[in-house]
Amino acid sequence: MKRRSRIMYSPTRLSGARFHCGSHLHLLLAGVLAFLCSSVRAQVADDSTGVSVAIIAYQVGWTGTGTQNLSLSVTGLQGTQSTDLIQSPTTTTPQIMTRLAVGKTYPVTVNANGVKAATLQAVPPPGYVMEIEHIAREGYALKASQSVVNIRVRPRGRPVPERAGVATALATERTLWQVSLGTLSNGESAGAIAFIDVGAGSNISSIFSPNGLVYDPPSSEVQVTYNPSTVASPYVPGTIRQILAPQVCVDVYMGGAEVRSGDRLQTIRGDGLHIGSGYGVYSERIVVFEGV
Amino acid sequence: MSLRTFTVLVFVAAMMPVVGAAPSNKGTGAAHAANFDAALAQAHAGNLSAAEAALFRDNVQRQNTLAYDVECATKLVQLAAVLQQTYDYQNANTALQLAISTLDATSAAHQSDTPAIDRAQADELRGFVCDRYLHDPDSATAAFQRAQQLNPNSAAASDGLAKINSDKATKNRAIGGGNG
Repeated sequence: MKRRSRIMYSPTRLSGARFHCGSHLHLLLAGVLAFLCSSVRAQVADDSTGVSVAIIAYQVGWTGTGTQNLSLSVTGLQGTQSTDLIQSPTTTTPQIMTRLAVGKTYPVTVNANGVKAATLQAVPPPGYVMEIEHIAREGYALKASQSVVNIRVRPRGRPVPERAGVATALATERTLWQVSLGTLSNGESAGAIAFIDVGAGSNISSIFSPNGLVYDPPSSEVQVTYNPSTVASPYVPGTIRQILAPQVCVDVYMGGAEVRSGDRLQTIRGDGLHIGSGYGVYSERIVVFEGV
Repeated sequence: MSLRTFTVLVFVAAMMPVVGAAPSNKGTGAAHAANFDAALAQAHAGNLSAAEAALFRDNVQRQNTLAYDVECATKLVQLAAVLQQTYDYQNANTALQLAISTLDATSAAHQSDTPAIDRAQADELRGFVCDRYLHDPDSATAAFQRAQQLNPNSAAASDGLAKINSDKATKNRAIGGGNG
């Protein structure tokens, strides 16, 4: 069933003003209203067209037996870009220049045969940080038989507010809305759960569904549970079900109204995105997904 | 024969291999990108058979081999990764199931004609898919263990098993802690 969402948003406290997001106009109005009443300014990068990223593989070591070749491919905001297939004894692939939405994880696909070692390099423009496989770095030693490497560009500095549960204003950039998951035990940000437009949907309202929620754990302190491949509707296989972060618990619940207690969760339920303090003792629903 | 005629003949002869060769762009980035975009469009429309046809058009491995099937499965996983990235989880799940069934079929079909060390690749990929995309650590563990039996030096299998054990330990620690 196609769904869209209603975001109950307040910059300083969970649940407050209610916005109904279903069209560009509504979204724009909601963004302006949220901006005017916000005491916490939205820290969203100007990423309406994404940022340019250079990707290359170098120091390629070949096994010396059988088929030996390597190519890279990434599907960014302007479609798929691939390098030509290189073969032994070449040790560097051609460079890919692609545009990626800020804050969104993209899979770099590696088609490799007879490669025993290689280094993948992805370089963002100045002012941005590259994360490869969830760690801030620009080089990554490719592992044997790893066919997909996840990369993400984020702004330098703290990308989201520090306090757990504080949301950014609705925006018309690619990062449409995000809410902070607080901090890790070392004081670093635990990241944010967000709606990010990658230009794939026919309209922007299609992003405001459980499928559109984006989160990448920055540390093993944060546990993300995904819906398994056999999950029944309305849950969707592969989408986020629950996040356990040091300061908050996030629950994407689609099972109808329910009061549940036990296993450290005690919440009054309803379909939507719930965020609670600690490990989920009393949560508040801050996004409602509605069938349309 | 005049010098002019000779020069023309030499030029024509030099061009023959180029003119006569069938156009082949297999292995070029542009061809792969075009095939992948075509496959992506078909997959978004729910037509996974057409997506597979486009996706496998520029395969480099020889058909009817385990390596070819692993290449097909790898491409399906890559397609699923991009489908997930564009929020198309339903078709991504279908592509992943196709990849798994391809790997299972090829492991059974090539037991006698493929060395164990090569057959381990299919289980390594299966473990990777089960762990990262299907969120099924038990199936991933079983696949990595099979890969280790076939190739005791499999770095992918040992890395995969270490990651799954680490994830389990971290999750137990997280659920057991907290302030509630």
